[in-house]
Amino acid sequence: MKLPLILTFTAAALATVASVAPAAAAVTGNPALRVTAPVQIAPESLALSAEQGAEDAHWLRLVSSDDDDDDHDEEDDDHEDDDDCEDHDARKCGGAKSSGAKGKLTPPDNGLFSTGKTPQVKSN
Amino acid sequence: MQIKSLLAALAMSTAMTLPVLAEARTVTLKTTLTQYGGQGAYVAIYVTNPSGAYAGSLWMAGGKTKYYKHLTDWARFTGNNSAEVSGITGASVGAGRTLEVSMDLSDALFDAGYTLHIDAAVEDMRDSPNEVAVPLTTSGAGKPVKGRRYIANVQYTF
Repeated sequence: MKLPLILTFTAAALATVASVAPAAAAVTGNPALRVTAPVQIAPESLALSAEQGAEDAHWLRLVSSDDDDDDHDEEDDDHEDDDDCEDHDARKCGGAKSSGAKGKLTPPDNGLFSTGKTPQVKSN
Repeated sequence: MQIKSLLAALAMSTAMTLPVLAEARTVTLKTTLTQYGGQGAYVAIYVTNPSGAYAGSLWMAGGKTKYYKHLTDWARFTGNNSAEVSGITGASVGAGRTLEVSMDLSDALFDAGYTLHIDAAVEDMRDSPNEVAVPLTTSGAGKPVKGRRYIANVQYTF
């Protein structure tokens, strides 16, 4: 049901453009706007597709991945390496990224760190 | 009059700062992982006080908080609170690799009954809480301590 509606709206939008374009061309005298002429055909064909295309829509839906419900929500499905970069220098990658992502560059005030200096990390 | 006040304030701030600096100790903690044959390991490094209670975290290797629950002892001590490692988090550590963290720690942690703990966890493999538990002492510096599963050894130096 969604696809015919979308196609109908698209057709309406294109029809509006097609009807406005000649007036704009007349005002500006710019022949480039006449390029919209082929577009005038499109709304009709799209409207026809919208009316006739219930089955096509079904087919398109099968092809489309957007409407599939097979996305996985399990939190452990993604690999932990996906956003880590242990192959890189941790100072550039993990340490800086994580600290920066949290918006905090100092260690927590837990009494263990004698200064507010962020630990320096190396990983080979 | 203003200069006198300024000097007094400077003297006070200096007096308050110097003891803190005197208590600082730059510690380098070197952790080498075994060739366990899996994804990058999450490693939590934390300290307990003389009574065995959680004192605080020193470093978290691994950026996704949803995996922190697998660092089971650390999660139990902290209530799995990722704020405990805010600002001290880095990338996970690959098999066979070495993580080296240098930090300025309070001198009061050494020879006072504090213990350094390391939990480790690897995706699709067994969790390994308390891989290493080593007392923080000046005499223990530079002496490698073996881990149980994912950590080959760990040592701290001054």
